[in-house]
Amino acid sequence: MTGNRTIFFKLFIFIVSLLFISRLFFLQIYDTSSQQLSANNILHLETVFPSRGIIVDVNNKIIVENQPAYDFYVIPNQLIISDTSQFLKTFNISLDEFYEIINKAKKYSKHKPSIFYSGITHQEFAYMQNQFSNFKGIYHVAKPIRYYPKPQLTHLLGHVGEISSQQLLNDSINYYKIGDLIGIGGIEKYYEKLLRGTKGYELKVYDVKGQSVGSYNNAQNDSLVLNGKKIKLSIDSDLQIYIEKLLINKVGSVVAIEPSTGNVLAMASSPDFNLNFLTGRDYSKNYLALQNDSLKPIFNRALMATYPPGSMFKLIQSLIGLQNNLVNYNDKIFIDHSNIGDLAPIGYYDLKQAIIKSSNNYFFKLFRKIINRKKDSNTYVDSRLGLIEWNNYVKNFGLGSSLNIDMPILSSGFVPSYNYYDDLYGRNRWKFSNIYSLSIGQGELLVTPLQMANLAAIIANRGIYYTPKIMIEIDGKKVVNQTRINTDIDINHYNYIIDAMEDAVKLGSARRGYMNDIILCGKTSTVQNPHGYDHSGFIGFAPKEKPKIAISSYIENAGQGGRAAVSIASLAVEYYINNGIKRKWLEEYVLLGDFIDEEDTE
Amino acid sequence: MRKIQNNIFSIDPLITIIFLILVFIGFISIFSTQIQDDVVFFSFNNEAFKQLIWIIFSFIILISVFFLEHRFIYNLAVPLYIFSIFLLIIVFFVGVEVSGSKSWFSVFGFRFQPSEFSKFSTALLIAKIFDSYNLNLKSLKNLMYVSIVILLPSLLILIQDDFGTALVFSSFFLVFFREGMSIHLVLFIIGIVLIFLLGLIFDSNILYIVFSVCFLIAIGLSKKNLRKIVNLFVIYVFTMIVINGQGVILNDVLKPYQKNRIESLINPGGDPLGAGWNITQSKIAIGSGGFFGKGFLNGTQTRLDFVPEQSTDFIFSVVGEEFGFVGSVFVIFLYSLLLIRIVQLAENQKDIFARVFGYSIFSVLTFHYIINIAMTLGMFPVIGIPLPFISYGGSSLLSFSLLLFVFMKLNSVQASLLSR
Repeated sequence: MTGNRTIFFKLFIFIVSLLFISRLFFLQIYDTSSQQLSANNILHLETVFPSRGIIVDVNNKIIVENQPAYDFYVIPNQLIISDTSQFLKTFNISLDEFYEIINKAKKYSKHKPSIFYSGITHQEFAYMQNQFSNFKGIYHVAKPIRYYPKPQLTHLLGHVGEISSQQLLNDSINYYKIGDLIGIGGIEKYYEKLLRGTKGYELKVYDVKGQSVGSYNNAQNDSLVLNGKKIKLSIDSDLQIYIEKLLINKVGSVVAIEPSTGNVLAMASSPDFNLNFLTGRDYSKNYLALQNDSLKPIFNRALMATYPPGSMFKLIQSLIGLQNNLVNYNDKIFIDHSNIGDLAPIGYYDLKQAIIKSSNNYFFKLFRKIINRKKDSNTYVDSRLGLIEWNNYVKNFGLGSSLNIDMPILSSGFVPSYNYYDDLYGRNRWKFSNIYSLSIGQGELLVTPLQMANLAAIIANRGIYYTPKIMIEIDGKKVVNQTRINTDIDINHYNYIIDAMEDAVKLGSARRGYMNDIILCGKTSTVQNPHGYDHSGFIGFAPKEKPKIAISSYIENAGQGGRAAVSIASLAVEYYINNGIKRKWLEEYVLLGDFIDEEDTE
Repeated sequence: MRKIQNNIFSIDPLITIIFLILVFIGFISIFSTQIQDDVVFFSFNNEAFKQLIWIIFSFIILISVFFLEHRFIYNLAVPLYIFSIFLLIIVFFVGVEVSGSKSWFSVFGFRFQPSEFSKFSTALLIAKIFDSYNLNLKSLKNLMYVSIVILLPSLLILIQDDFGTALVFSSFFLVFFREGMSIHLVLFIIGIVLIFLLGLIFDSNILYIVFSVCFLIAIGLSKKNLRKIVNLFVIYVFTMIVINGQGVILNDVLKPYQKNRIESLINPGGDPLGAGWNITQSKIAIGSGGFFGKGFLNGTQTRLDFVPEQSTDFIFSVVGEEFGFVGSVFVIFLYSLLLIRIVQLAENQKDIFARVFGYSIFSVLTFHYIINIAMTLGMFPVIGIPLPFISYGGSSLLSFSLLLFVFMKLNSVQASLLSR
């Protein structure tokens, strides 16, 4: 047996070696293709860049597409330039820059391609093309860049830029290479994987003259390029552009949501910039300029800015009060100005009147009832218990949450919890008198414009909301992944405050937003701001029955909510529902942008 | 007898000559990869120069091996094994990382890989175990015991992410096969590997159907022999598990780059930048060598960095390009001769220790030789293991030389005993 096995081993070696020799015979003698290939030819791996997915709006209008552009690569060892000055002129670079690029490329590899010059437009390329025969070792690759037919929607879309070294390090599957483009901010970043597609590779044979003479091995070793997917957004670009027009020369943002689906109809932040600044070769220069702008045009206020909600928060306080039987529909109480600054007149108020006239002292009293329910004889402990319950209710309205919207960077705002005050004052060292600013939506409470719009959608839907979404279709296929969330508050209470909101627009602080033909329900906010004029805020929805649009608008340093914010929101609603504007006087008022009155003090 | 024992001229001349030629071919091939504009020979940036130092160092070690008393080697087996395991553990803490695996010690710019050394110590321990106990490998229990000796270093190396070297340890099963392991077990393992590979080519559902049909036919042919049916059923269940597990191993156990390497063998276009690119370039380099090769220092493909790792794992492509078919076949011939000669000598040993050790080095060398050349010729997935005696790398040169010459020493003792 063992003797056989010895022979087995020898035979094994013999057969394997014979296999190797026949393989060598095939590669080195029978198949002459590799000899021809290597005679002086060079096999060159070329990347085929996919074209990035197109983005369309809800009405299938194209909002982002691609335009051709080219990148140049250099292989230092093959570089031969007959006329240096002509070369420098063609690429429009100085001799020093040229050496810097070449030395950097050499450091990486003398034999492998390094990026040399990127983002050359089609026109420039056509001009350069007839000069290429004079240079060897320079290769070009088509790499489409973004083009924005409607250069608005700046913050929503985000932009595309060269991948950073940190992102390269984090790329565990090594998909990206230096110089590749990647989505930065907005939809471009959030849906990077869908939009980018998959790069393809082709093995190309180059001859001694550096000319491509075809593909290697009948392209069997190549991998196909997959273009990015087309995505459809819920955004109505006409509405979006109209809102952006209204926001010109103002600082603030407007968010509009379709209440019945949670689809975001518009999301504008001002100031913004033309996205076409950030395509092509001047990317770094332009990006730096935007970054250094004191008005922060890159900052997406709709998602990232947090503000005190102000009076619009009284709607939530009312709902919490009603749900806990702390107030009834027809209860009237006497309100004076003893507790907190107020613009509403002294007198008898029911809840509806308190909302319409935005009585601060009424809500001071209501919030005290919410916080101090006499569940514990110790007023500190009682306040703590009250705040815990209040915090739970407020969170049901999506405040303090990112709302799971499909955008990359966003703020969650802030709903103070008992922990926060325990840290601030010490456990059982704070009570209602420390936190009363919350009663009118000021103090530590912070919300984003998106959360405000979502609040408007919750009221429009009488107590439920769908998590807001922007992307609704991939390559024509519907994407449904919204969650339905209930605020657990009686629908009658909603109907009650909606009546109040209707009257607020008809007779109250939001009168400027009144329309004959569309019933707009809303609530203004005038938010005190230690740094300057008050912020102007408004949330609302229309029409009252079967609402089509819920909207928030928040304009920084524009004085009372009854002016800038309500005017802009009301115009946007009219534009969306009627597809046009009849109230030209209001439009002019907004475009003029002079909202500050003599009586507003700084 | 003592005097003859230290006689350096009693070593096998054929093996020594082949060894010297292979080391020489290795040196000039490495030299060839290092010819570049700005690298001088006498510099620690030059791999050829470093290799030369390692060659000299190895020769010194080899000669000193001949002055050891041969029982001393025998007694060293256990301590050396423990020491090598110790090194494999220590390297986690003080090791440096080279191309993704933290498996190197670095001293004065010279790097040493303890996993290379553990091949040698494992071979010694296995030889000693077979020598000390009369193991019957037909018993699965015994087989499992000796397998632990292999699995322990192999697992430690696997944790260091050095998949190739860890796989080398599986070659010791060849030794077990020689020492009486059941042929059924060997066929069983080969079967698993085959099914695994089939799973890469065909959809798993097709395999389920095909093997189920085969199973039913086999049942039909078994003439209602209960034992056969039970055996068949066990094999069938195993086959199904392997087909099923194949996907799990490929997707969850193996690293993405290892998966790529296996898949790029079936489909070179799948990963053209990584493993597919290596294989394509290596094949072009070798193919372009033609019958006589482009001549020493005239290789263009390998020189131009097109072939990655051209001084270590892909060194054979340098031989193929510069020395052509003639040179490549010569190298294949040398390896075949060396390996067959080792089998022959091992079989002649009267001493079990020497015989098992001889088969151990045969197995390790065979594994490296087959996997490395098959990989360079594009017949096997890219697994990063060196070509013995030729590839650049001090630890591997030293460990292969030690393996070979400790066996030469054991053989010379036997020869001197016989000549008495």
